[in-house]
Amino acid sequence: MNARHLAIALAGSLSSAIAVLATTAHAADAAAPEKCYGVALKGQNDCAAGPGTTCAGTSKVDYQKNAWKLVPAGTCTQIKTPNGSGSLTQGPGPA
Amino acid sequence: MCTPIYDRFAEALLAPAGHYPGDLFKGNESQLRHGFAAYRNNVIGSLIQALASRFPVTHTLVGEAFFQAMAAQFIHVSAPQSPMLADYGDGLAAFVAGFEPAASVPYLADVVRLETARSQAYHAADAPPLAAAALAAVPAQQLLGLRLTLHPAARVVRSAWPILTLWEMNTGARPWAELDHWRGEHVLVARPHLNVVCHRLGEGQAMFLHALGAHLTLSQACEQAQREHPGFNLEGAMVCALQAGVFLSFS
Amino acid sequence: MPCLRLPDDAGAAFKPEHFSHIDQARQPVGFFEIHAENYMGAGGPPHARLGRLSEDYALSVHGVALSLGGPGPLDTEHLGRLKALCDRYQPESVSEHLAWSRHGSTYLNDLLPLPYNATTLARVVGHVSHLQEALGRTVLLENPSTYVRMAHSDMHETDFLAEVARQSGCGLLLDLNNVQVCAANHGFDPYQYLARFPLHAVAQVHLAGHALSVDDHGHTLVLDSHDRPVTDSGWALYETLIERHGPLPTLVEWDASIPAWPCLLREVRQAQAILARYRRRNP
Repeated sequence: MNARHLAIALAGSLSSAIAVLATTAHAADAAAPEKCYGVALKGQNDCAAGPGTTCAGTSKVDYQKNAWKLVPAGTCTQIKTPNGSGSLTQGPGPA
Repeated sequence: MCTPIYDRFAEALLAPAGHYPGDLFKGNESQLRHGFAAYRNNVIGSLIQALASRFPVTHTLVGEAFFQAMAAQFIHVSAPQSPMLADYGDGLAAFVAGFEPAASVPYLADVVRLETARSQAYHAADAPPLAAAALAAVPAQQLLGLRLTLHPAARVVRSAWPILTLWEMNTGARPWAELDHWRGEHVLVARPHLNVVCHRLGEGQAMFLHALGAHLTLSQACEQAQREHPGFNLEGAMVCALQAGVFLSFS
Repeated sequence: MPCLRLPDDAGAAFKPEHFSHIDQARQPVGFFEIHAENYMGAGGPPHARLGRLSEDYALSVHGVALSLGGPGPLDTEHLGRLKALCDRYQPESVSEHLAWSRHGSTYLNDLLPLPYNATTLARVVGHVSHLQEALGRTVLLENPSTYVRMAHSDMHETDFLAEVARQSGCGLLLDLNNVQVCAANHGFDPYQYLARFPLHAVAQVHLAGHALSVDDHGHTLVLDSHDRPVTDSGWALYETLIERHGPLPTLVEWDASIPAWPCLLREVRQAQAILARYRRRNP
């Protein structure tokens, strides 16, 4: 087969794959229930705009912590990487 | 007369702790210092909160103290330029990639990229995705010459790290397990209707969609993917993409 | 200008967490209020929910980021976004704050205080007028919570607001929690503030809870936290306001530590009970 024949064959098989999908996709679309209006994604909600967020207004909180003294200490410590467990390098504990 | 008041107030808010523009205020000084500290904490704290809610898995991965400190540094170098806080943090991935204290978590920047793509998809314009039926109506001989426009919510995130597996384990979508295959994952983020969905892509598929996004024709995109990944299968890739609702239209 | 108005009833801050609950059955609230900036994305679930909500309820759009009290001109891009939102949902009320939040190109995510004097008055009047012209409607301006007193102020806040309303034709949003917060922080009597307030211009009331912060020196500061119920003294102040003015659209605000919907609804009902009591006494 030359390139032109190859292209015709490719177009033919793509065309039939799409045709098959076109006849089955309808059922799948209708079955997709999205009554929930996409709620419940943490971090995707109504957040962080304006006066409501003034809840952070306590002078006790110190946001000036020195990041250079900290090491990541969340779930990453439970993740086994190719170099061993947790973080890939060592550091002192959280300040 | 008034403009310097605002400048000085704003500069003191963003300056390191301890900066206090006392002559702008009247009343009891220690009371005023407390009040001014509240503004400072509101500004920084609410922005950290905005980032934490946009990047929940990043936050979970590194923990509260680290995330706060990292976010505060980011805010310092990259304060928001718009009140559209849903978009704030588009530059966080690049910042994290160069953030030395996070070097021990080399996959972190790519997880941030995935979360960036997810939240962009969440807020993207609504549009019905291209139906297979519309494409089925195109004569076979014209098919490979088509250029497809990606759906406004569709994003491809390519990574050398298993970012989707990490994301799933941290959101409860997948149980915690040791990662036997520490392999890169390419992720298709789509929101054909209201729900944001992530799909794993093969290397060839990722390259193919990327090429279509750059407005190459189907045949050009297919050739590019096959050149790098001889196993690339056009029908399979197109069926997956159509099912995921990745396209908007064609021309 | 078209004169849309919220019903003289109590409403609730709309939080997406409550959507599935709210969507199950018609809720006994007079309206819902949203923060404009949370609905300025192109599409997605926020607009799906808001579209659904606005079919069944009166809507109040409350902007938090226009920086009406700031020194520079209004951010026309942001104004355009607010206009697009209002055009799309046709809310019964649009409100913003007497505060500033922009410095050059930087957006400071808070409602910052401004001095009250002739210069700032002229500027705020100009900004409110600009906003009203752009939206083609009147807006409400809210009294702020403040944590410091500005040295260059020579006007009382209530007089300042009265003048802005008189000169620009805008209405006022009286936030009673902000009155309580300022009264506590600056040592004045909230009832005296209420007595001076230009009540004729008030078209909406906000109710919320506040938090107490104590620093290392033992100084207390009251924070506008919106994270807890309205206090008893807050309800008493509200009842006084309603006695003096008559029923007003009244919002129960929550923005942090969001309670379950029935808890929020209970506070809405509490406000409704005060409105109903007034109506019984003044048939």
